[in-house]
Amino acid sequence: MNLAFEEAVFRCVGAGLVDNTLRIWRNKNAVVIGYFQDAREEVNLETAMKLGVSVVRRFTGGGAVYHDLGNVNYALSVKMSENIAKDYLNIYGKYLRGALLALEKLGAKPYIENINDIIVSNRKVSGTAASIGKGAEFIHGSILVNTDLTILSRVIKVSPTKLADKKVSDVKYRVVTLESLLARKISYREVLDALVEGFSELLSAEPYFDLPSEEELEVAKILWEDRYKTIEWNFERKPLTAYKELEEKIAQITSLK
Amino acid sequence: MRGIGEYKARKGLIRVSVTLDERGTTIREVRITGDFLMYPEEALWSIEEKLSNTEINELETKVRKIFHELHVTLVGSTVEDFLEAFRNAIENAEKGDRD
Repeated sequence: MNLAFEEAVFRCVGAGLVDNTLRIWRNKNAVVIGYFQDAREEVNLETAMKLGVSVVRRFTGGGAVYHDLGNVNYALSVKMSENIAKDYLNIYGKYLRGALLALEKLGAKPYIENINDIIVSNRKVSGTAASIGKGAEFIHGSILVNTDLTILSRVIKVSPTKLADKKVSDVKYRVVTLESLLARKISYREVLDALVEGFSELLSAEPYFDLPSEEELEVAKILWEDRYKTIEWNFERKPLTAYKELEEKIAQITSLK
Repeated sequence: MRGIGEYKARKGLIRVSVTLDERGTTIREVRITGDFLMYPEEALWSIEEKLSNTEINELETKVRKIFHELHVTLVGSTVEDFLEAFRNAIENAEKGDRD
C-alpha cells in the first residue's frame, strides 16, 4: 500500500490537486524491485517468504532495495510547468541536492557518484530513482540509516556480472548504514526533520505538514487493488500501459487524461 | 534455442533473454530486464515487441533504429551496452546454454 500511495501522491500533484509534496515513510519488511526487473532474477524468493519479506515492484527503474524500519524513504513530487520538455538527463542533478543537504545536516559528507548513488566515505548510503510524467517530476530514494544488512544480503541477489564489475564479493559490503558511518544512533525523527529541511532549502519553499487528500486516498486504493497487490504487477513485469481500466478510473478522479 | 546474456553498463545491469528459431538465424522473442534507467519507461516493451522475429544479421541496425524512433533516453547506459547484452545472449543461445 505504501507504493500505491506514493504513486497516488505523484499523480495528484501532477493533476494539480495537491501542492508539491515530499513524503517520508518506512516499510516494515519488504524488497522493492525496479520497474524493469523480474522478481525471480533479483530476489531469493524462498528466503524472502521464510523471513516474511514482501516483494513489491515500483513504477521507476533502477535496482532492488531492501526496506525495514531502519531504512527511511523519501519521495518528492513536483508539478511540471506546461510546455516544458521532459529532462530525463538532469532530473537527478536537479533534485538530489535536497537529500545531500539532509545528510549534511545529520553530520555526513555526502556526494553523488554515478549519476544517482549517494555516497558517504566511499560507501553507498542511498539509492534513488526518478520519473517524469502525469504532469509532474518525481524522485524517490531510500536511506540506509540502520537497516539490517544481513537480511538485505540474504534476500537480494546480485549477478556475478555486477560483482565482477565492482570487485566486491557480497552486497552487504557495497552498501553501508549511516549509523555505522557516523558512529552514533540516528532517530527516524532526526532523519525526517533533516529531509524536510534539505528539500525545503532546495526548493526555497516553506513546508507544511498535511494529511492525505480524499483524491490521493481514492487513487491509492485503486492502484493498490488493481495493480500493487497483484501477481501480474509484482512478479510478471506487466507494463503500466496494460492497465487501461485502472487509468480510466484514476482519470475520473484526477480529470487528467 | 534460448540464451541469456548480461552486460554491466556504467549504471545498471542489462539482461537480455532471446529465443531463436531452429536454424538460429532469427530472434523470435526478446525479453529485457535489469536495473538500468530508460525513459520513457514504456519504450522497453515496445522495443521487445518490435525486435521479435528479427534476423540476427539485421539486429544491430534495427536496435539503433528502434531506440531512435522511440526517442529513448538512457541514463547511465548506451545503445552499445544493450547491443553487447544482445550479443552475449545470442552467443549463449548458439552455444546451447540454458540459464
